[in-house]
Amino acid sequence: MRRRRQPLVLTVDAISCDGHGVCAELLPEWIRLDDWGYPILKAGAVPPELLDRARWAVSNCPELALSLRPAPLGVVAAARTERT
Amino acid sequence: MSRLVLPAPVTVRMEGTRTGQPPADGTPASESEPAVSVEPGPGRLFADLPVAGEWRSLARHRATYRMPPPASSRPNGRLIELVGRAGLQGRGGAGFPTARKLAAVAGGSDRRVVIANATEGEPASGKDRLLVTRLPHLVLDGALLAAHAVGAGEIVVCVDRTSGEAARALRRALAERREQEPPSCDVRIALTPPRYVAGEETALVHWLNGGPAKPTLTPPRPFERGVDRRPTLVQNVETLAHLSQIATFGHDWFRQAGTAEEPGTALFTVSGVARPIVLEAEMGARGGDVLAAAAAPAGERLQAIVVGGYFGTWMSAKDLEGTPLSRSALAPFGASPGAGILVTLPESACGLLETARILRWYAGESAGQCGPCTFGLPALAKTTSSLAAGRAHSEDVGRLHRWAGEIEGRGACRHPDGAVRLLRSALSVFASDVEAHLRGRPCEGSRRPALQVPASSEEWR
Amino acid sequence: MHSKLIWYTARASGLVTWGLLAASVLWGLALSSRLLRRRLHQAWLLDLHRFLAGAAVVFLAIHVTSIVLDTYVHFGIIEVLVPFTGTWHPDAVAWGVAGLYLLLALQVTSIFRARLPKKLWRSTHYLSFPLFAVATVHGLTAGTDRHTFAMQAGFIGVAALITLLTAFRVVVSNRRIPVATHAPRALERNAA
Repeated sequence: MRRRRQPLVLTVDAISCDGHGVCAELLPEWIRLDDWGYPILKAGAVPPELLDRARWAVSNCPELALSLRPAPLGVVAAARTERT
Repeated sequence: MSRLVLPAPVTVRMEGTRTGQPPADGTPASESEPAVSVEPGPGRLFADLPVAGEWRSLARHRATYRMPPPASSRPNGRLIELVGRAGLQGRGGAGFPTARKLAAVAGGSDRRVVIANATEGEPASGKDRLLVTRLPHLVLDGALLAAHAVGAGEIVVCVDRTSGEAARALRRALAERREQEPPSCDVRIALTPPRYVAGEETALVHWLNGGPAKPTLTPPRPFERGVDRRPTLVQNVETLAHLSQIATFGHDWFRQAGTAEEPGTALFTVSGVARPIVLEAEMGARGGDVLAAAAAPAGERLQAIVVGGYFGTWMSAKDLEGTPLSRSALAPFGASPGAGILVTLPESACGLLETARILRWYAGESAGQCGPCTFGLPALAKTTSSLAAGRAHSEDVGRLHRWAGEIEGRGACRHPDGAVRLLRSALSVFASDVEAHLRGRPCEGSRRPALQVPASSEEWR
Repeated sequence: MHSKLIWYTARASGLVTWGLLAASVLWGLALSSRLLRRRLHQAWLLDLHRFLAGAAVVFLAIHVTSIVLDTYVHFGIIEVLVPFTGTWHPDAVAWGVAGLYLLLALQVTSIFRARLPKKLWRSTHYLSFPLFAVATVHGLTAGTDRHTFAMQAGFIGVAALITLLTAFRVVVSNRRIPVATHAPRALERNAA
């Protein structure tokens, strides 16, 4: 039985984040770094084709600051992404 | 630099304010009580305000205000409803509907806590300290009423530990109470470190729980899990003072001042070119009227005003003149009354220089927990300083705008957002100055700083 | 011959385990240091740090197993898991047993990191410093080659280096050091 895919968003715990930048490396289509090395995430639900890499980025954050969670109501899945 | 020192407060006369009414129904009147009437006079919170150095004793206070009902672990829905009908909104800056907040905490599990927030981290604000120093019983009654409303057994009054006078006044007031009117629940005073963000809800809770006075991630918000993981109500002391009045004089009375969406009066602190002063005015009073009441020295015209404190927005004097001080009227300018703070800037001063100084202060007050705030705010401050000194180029202004967009919303609390908002409003209101400065011509007045911007301490405990 | 092979395995794997631990601690220090944040590749640092730690566990297993299998000195399961139960240099061995448990605690908490409270993981992870100290003492008191200059110099030298770097990391408050100032768009992007 197929479970309906639930939209997921990537969020960063700003307090735990220490600007390692591993996430931006592993998921450049969704995450870029600001001038001080801290991640800027795109808004909206992560498109399905990026989900696996998003999970990989989450598990490789040295501070476990990145997380993937169900989108709050009203967040729609983003259309095909472009390079930032 | 010392913080704001206030001379005698002034009340702005309001039109159409009627005398006190008998208590409205909905107040928890278990016994029938004689109707209470109030002498008509200037002000409501400031009615019969003691002069500087004096304070209203418990006996004197009780002559007007009925004793709050005892707090128990059961919330009082009728009192919350009364507050809702009065339409009271928080006076700590966010303007959140008080009844909603009370209901949220009342809905939580047992053992609730009330925090009366008198920390007043905004350097340009003086109203909370004033209330606590001269009308401590109005504040304490409000706290007890709030505790009764939400069903709390503990009240903590938080005061900045550098304001000795306020702490002393509170201790005195509590001693009076213990003698004459033992409180129905635990009331204690907590002296907070002198940091700006310490007054933020989650920071206060964090500190009371033994940590540094730095904001924490939400969820959970304090109303769900706060002090000792208990549902916690954090309320500004001015809001609690209004609550006392509503409980005694009723919701109809409260609504006779202010606007329909933002009823009642509020305390405004005006400083800058005007001598620092706290006024009481109706919500929706015209900016020009409030400034006039603050009596800015003649001959020194106003250039602009920071509306809502350093956490607020610049507005030109012209714009503020005819604009009512209410959320709805100020919203089109990207501004809000905040905690009722107006910092005036004279014609002779340089708005960009003052903004740079405030940004430097913002940077110094960062909790240092989140990268975009810790590193972004000093960068904003530095570049704005160069701009103010006439040493910047147009790419720097572009960079300011880019950084503003990138920093916003990426901290664990709203501190960096305040800096961004202030900066953006400065670049807009002082746009002609920006032009001039880019061409290497800083303002003449830029040699002397105009606003009082304090130095930051290093303590977090 | 056979028994000597097992003994050599025990010796070698012990040294290798210690070396891997030292390297893992060094890579861990580099990863946590803000000074090196933009100079060293963070994903690589993390990956290698984890790999080295995992390899240390593997070699520790080899070390312990070969010690049990070795017949020259008697070591049963109890003697390697419970300190002070054996007859051969019980103090020296106790350091090793302590190290075993410390490493296990570190590895298990790291595997289940996502499911554990952050504070628990973090405080357990600080045990990596005592772990390295314990492993070093064990090597210098129980190691067959402990009397050779090479091993002594190597152990003490590396231990001194790690102690120095750790002290530096502790004393210099990491929080205030900028990760980057006006950094160019960080590392080269490469699709994973």
